Amino acid sequence: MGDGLRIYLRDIWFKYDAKGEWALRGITIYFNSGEATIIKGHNGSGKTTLMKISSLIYRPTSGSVIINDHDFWNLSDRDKISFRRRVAFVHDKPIMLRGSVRRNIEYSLLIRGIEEEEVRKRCDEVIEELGLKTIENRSSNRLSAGQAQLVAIARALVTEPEIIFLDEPFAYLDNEKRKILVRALRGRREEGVGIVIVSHEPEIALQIGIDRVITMENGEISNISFLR
Amino acid sequence: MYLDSEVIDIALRTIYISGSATLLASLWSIPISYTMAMRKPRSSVEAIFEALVGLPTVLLGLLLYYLFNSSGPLGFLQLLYTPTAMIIGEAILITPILISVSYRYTKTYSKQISELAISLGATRIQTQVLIIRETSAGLTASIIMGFSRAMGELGIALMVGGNLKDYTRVMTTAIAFDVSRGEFERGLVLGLLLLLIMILIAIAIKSLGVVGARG
Repeated sequence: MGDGLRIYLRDIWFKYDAKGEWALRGITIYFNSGEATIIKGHNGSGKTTLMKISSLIYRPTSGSVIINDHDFWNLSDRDKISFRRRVAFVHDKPIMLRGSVRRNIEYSLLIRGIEEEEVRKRCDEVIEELGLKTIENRSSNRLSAGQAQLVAIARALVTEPEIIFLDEPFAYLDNEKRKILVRALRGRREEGVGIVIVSHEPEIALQIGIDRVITMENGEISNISFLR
Repeated sequence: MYLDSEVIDIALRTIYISGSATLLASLWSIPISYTMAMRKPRSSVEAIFEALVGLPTVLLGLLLYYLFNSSGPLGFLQLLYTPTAMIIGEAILITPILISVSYRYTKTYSKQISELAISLGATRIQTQVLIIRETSAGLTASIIMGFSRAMGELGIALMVGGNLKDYTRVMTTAIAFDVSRGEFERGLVLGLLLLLIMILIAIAIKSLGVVGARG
């Protein structure tokens, strides 16, 4: 895990287009490796936008994203990629790449230049852990929504992120798959991985061992509860 | 039998001319559609390309005839009534189809693929490669549509090709020629053959694996 990762958002404002409304209004928050957080709020409250800014995908309209004391958006491309490879984000609607389930999971390791044997070993582990063995060679366009969701999560977990952001990870999962995912995330939580979950079903997410619950409303944080 | 060596020659020539035109048009259309998808042009630019999809072939044929005839601005190239002129004309004709179809598909998927690639830690080049790979289904669809349009057009083939026997005669001009001299049955056979070739080539391109449906 190294020294751990700390992503600090300072006075973040964001709008999707210049003439549009503010999706986020002056958000200040941090996310650390080793902590688990739930973000909740109504549709359109800014949860997904906050996740995408925190996971270093979107650049805020104003405000700073400080990552381990570096202003992320002022870093060189090489440094940006290096930090991005330490976090992971899983979309609420899983985006599958063409090809097999295994190819989808391998992709995130192959772009890091990891050796083939190591790629195979890490993929085998995560495929086993998330119960994807029977579908590992299935084409990604023949998966159910729940299977695709688990593959997207496997693709993120296989990179061994220090903080993982999951947008509605339980949405398409049946009870059995939910149990598998809870177990996998609780394991990561115990290993010191930071977990940030947007969920409309906080009672499931709480089984992971949550430290904080952030409530959002109209692009602002309306409440933060510390559970530990 | 109508399927004699002349018909086979005509069919092969049609495939060669339409295939070359499609390749040529792809050279500029695909980069343009990717650039448009990345830069989000004004909707008027999209509208222009969509409107040009219905460009009358006789109008384009007339313009090219003006350019290529011996007293025209490009007359010195001596391209009129050659397969090259037909290839150029058909390439111009299908450019709007290639651009608008591939752009529509690329625009839809490039944002989410790009977001996914960034979230997985891809470099700028890896992101571009992934976008191209993942949107290749849309590109192939546009190529098939462009090829079919090129094969089925008559105006340009007639005006800048001239329907010269054993040189520029293609399926559509041969059909028109047969009908004009009352050989309807031969024209019908050629028409069905044209349709069959279009369908077979579309299936072949699809199954070559150049494409695959996006999951």
